[in-house]
Order: sequence, then structure tokens, then C-alpha cells
Amino acid sequence: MNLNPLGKSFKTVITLALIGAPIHLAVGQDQLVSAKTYVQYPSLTPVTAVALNIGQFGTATYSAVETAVHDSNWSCASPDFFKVAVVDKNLKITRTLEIRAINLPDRDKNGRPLTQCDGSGHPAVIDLILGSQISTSDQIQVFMYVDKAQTKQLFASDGKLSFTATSFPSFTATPQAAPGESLNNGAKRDVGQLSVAFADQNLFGNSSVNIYAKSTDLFSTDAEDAKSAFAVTGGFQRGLFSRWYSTYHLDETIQGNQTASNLSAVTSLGFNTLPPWHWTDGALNNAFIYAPLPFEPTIAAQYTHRINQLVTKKSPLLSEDDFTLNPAVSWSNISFPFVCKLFNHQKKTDAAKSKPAPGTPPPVCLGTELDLGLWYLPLDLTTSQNQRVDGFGDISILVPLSDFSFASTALTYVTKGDPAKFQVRIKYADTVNAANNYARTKQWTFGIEALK
Amino acid sequence: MSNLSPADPLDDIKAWFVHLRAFRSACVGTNAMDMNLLTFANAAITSVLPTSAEQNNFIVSAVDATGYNDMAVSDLSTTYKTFEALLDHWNPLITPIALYLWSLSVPSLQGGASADFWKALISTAFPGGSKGVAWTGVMNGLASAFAPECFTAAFQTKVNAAVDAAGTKISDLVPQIAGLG
Repeated sequence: MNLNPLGKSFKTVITLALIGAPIHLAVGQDQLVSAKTYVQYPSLTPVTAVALNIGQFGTATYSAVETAVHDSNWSCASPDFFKVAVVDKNLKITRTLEIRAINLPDRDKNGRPLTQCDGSGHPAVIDLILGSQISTSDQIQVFMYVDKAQTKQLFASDGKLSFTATSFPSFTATPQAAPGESLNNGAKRDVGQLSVAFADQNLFGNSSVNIYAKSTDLFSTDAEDAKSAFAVTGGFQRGLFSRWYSTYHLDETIQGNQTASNLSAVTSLGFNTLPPWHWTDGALNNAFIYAPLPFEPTIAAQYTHRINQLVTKKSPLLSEDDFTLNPAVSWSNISFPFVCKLFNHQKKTDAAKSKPAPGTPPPVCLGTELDLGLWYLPLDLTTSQNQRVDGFGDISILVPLSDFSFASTALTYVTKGDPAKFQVRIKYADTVNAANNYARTKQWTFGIEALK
Repeated sequence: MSNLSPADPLDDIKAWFVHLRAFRSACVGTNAMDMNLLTFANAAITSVLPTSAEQNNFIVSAVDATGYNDMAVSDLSTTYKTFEALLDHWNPLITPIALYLWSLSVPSLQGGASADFWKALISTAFPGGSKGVAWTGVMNGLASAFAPECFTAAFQTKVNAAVDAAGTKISDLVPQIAGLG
């Protein structure tokens, strides 16, 4: 059996290589180029790229690369052989976009990142990382060439590609009229407002840490406008461990009103990750309890320094410095398979018909979700002069409507349609509202909710 | 996969299943670890990895194992429905299967362009149908490279039926084989 036939076919392919005319096969071009934004880990830097799919046998791009790789001057890792342009509806180029770098997302047999295309499907994707600003309304065409001078075209896309989102800086300024706006002095009057938003998700392109800045502001023609506000944030984020999702961020926000009579600085630090979970398989994946997903822990710390405070009837004087530490865990997708055996309902009947495939989740007849956390406020003393700590949490009991299918004649309303897509949630919550001076509320809620 | 020295297509098929197993292992702590490979390949990504944290954790592990370093959460939550479709984006199984079939096809097709082979009839590329020597060799090779649970007897019967059906083209058959079963 000939296990390495390509040496044989190469001889013929080489003679066909580098035909100057563009190759167009009857394959949907929407599958060959795609707009892509992704976040590199652990740097957490966002990337905007055009992904060129070259690895699928039988497509125009595969054929183009299959021939081009035999030219020693050609390199799929060089931006010189590609062009990305904004075009109009007649495919006339209106602007050429900078290709900042090329990413070949694949490895060779030895586990090293690929630096070249092999012409037989590796890599299957080439990311043309863009360095020019583009908007969501731009129509984009992608070209691949035989030569650096870009005179001989190997492939041209259909010019219908567009981005729904990008990682490039954004800026919007929206003027608006606000009749009868409330002022800080209690009066009302008609004012003009300018809403401004700016965001740069990645200030430095090649940084090992994602550094970002954003601002959200509302400026008014009346300095007393109660809605005037600005908030400017700068910070950085990164993954802590390169092989385990674990992100932290630190940022500083300066916020206040437009005259700075209300002005504060907020420093935020956050961390989140997932604990290893497979070791729990025996304890949390059995006939009694099924909890395949780990709980999600987060830690958020926030220090607020109030430089100026505007005290009104609606906004009382707050302490000059506040510090909060807010660890929390959220745990969902917990169910109790044994409940299904206690009741003779439809799911049990269905399960008996055929043995489920290994790894198939057990039917959910009773589930639960938990949220737990606390607010630690070391600068905020209680009446007994202790540091303030407020715990909070909630627990939900989840019952799929399919549990009630045995009573479908009596409960036609709740069991009609597909009962597996709806569930009853009974929730008890003991919460504290950080936005309302950590006021505590306790409540039961009942509801029927649709499942995704 | 080294530059200008294409890999043995059977090695590439084996590598595809290695990466599929790596994807399964990257579903850290979920019930996917217990699924057989065929069930996992066809499992809905969002049912195995329902939360954003799970999806991010998968990406970190999967990128570490495979090098597909442009994987995004939207690939898992929106763009690709199953793990097989996800893997096929970076490593289309169609390609090594087609290259392998091409290598064992009649000499006249081996000397031509890949596009011509793609459009060829099975009966032209492999005279003798599913009982022919050439096609029997193809199936033996595929059986050695595929994960056993993805190359079941029923699947082989279905593929052989497609080989014997009049008018079947390589472009019809290869996606069927790459569909696993």
C-alpha cells in the first residue's frame, strides 16, 4: 500500500504551479474567508483578523496554496502576498487595510508553531491580523498573490465580508435635547446634552498584558444638570496561569459630574477562575447527585476615594474612603438523578426504553443552583465598632415542567408545548444591595422560566 | 506537516483523532470526559460547555494541546455546533481522507490536479467498486487510522453502498466518510 503518495503526484503538481490566473472553483466563498475577533491568552489582548480558510481539499484557496507552496519565493507567513481592502459594491477598492501580522494557528509534528504552509492542509487557516481601523459597514475583499509585487493573483474573495465587531478604538458623540431635565438645585429646565463614549480595548498592540482605556461621559449645557457625568477608566488585565483560565484585572476610574463638584477615584482589582473538577467525578457524578460543572469563584476588591461630594436631598454625605472586598461563588447545573426513580413519570419510561450512551447526562427531575458571597467593608464600622461584614446568598430549586406530564390532563396549561423547555424556579434569596448602602432584603420568588 | 514535506495522509487522519481526544480532555471536569469519541464528536458544544467560564477554560486547554491559538468563545457558543465541526475548522478531516483516496486512485487521476480528482466519479477513481482491490485497501487503511468507535461496521456498510451507487463523486463520498459513524 502506498502510504506516502504525494512524492509521486508532486512532480505533476510542480509543473502546474504558479499559474498566474486567479483560480475560482464552485465553492461558497463565504466559507473561505471570515471575519474574526479573538482574545489571545494569557495576554488577553484582542485581535481583529480576516481568517482565510485554505485547508479544505477541493476549494479554490486549497488549490491556490497547493500550487503556490512550490515557489521558494512564496510564503503564506508573509503579509506581502496578501491584500485586504475595503471595496464598494462594484468591487472597486476604496481603501487598503494594513496587515499587521500573519498568524498560522497550527503546529508541526514536533509541536512547534508552523512557519510555512505545506500545501496539503496545514495550516487550514491563515489569520491576516489587521492593523487598520475598520467599521462594521465596510465591505471587505481579500486577495492572495503569487508575487510580492502583487501582480499575479492566486485568489480573490467575493468582496462581501464584513465585521460585526472589532477590537479597534471606538468613539461616539451624540447630541440630544433633554426637555424638563432635573437640576441639582431641585429646579427643572430644558437643556442640551452631549453623550460621549470612547473605548480602546488594546492601547499597545504587541504587549504581553492587555492595557485598555475607556470613557463614558454626558456633558450638559447647564452645569447643574443632575445627569451630567464623566467616567474615565484605564487599566490592565492578563491571565495568571498560561495553561489554566485564570484572569485578573486592575483598573482605575475617575468619575464625577462635569464641574467636578462630585469627584471620586475608584480602584478595582478582580480575579476569576475555575477550580479543577474532574477529581470530583466519583463524589459528584453518581445516582444521588450530578454536578458536572465546577463552581465559579470570583474575587473583586474596590477602593473608593471621594475627593469632592455634592450633597443634596437625594444624595447624602458618604464617607471619604470606602473599601470593599467581595468574594463570591456561583454553582449551577446541580441535579439529583435519584428523584427520577422516585416518581413514575415520563422520563423514567423513556429511560427504560434504551440505554443512554456513556457520558449522556442523566435526566433532570430536580435541580438546584447556589450563589454565595460576602461584602467585607473594613472602613465601615458597625454600631458596636466592629468592621462590617455582610454575607449574602441565594438558593434555587428547579423542577422541569416535564415532571408534571403525568398530570397533563389536569394541568394542560403548564404542560402544553414542550415541557422539557420550561422549569419551575423556587428561589430564596438573602441579598445585600451595594448600591443602596448594603441594605439587606430577604425574599421568596416563584416562577416558570424558559430554558435556552 | 513540516514545510514542503506533506505528511502521510493516514498520519494526518490519526492526528485528527488525537486532536479530537485533546478537545475531549479540554472539557475539564465535565461529563464529556466519559463520552465515547463518536458521541463527543457529535455532542452540542453549548450543552457540554454551557457557561462562558467553561468555554474559556476549554479554549486555554485546547489551544495548549493543539496550537489553534485563534479560538474564540464565539466559535464555541455560536459559530460551530459540534466538536467535530469545531475541529474541522482548523483541521478539516476531509483533506487527509481525500489525499489518501487520491493516493490510491487510478494512476491517471493521481497525475492530475486535485480539483479534477475532487470532481471525479468513484467508479472512475476506483474501478471494481467496494469489492475491488483498490477500495478494499482504502477501507483497510482508513480502519487503521480512524478511532474504532468512529468507524463502525454499519458505517462501513453505508460507505461501501455509496461507493457502489452509480454517479457518486469523490466530492460526495469524502464528506460522508469525514462525517464519522
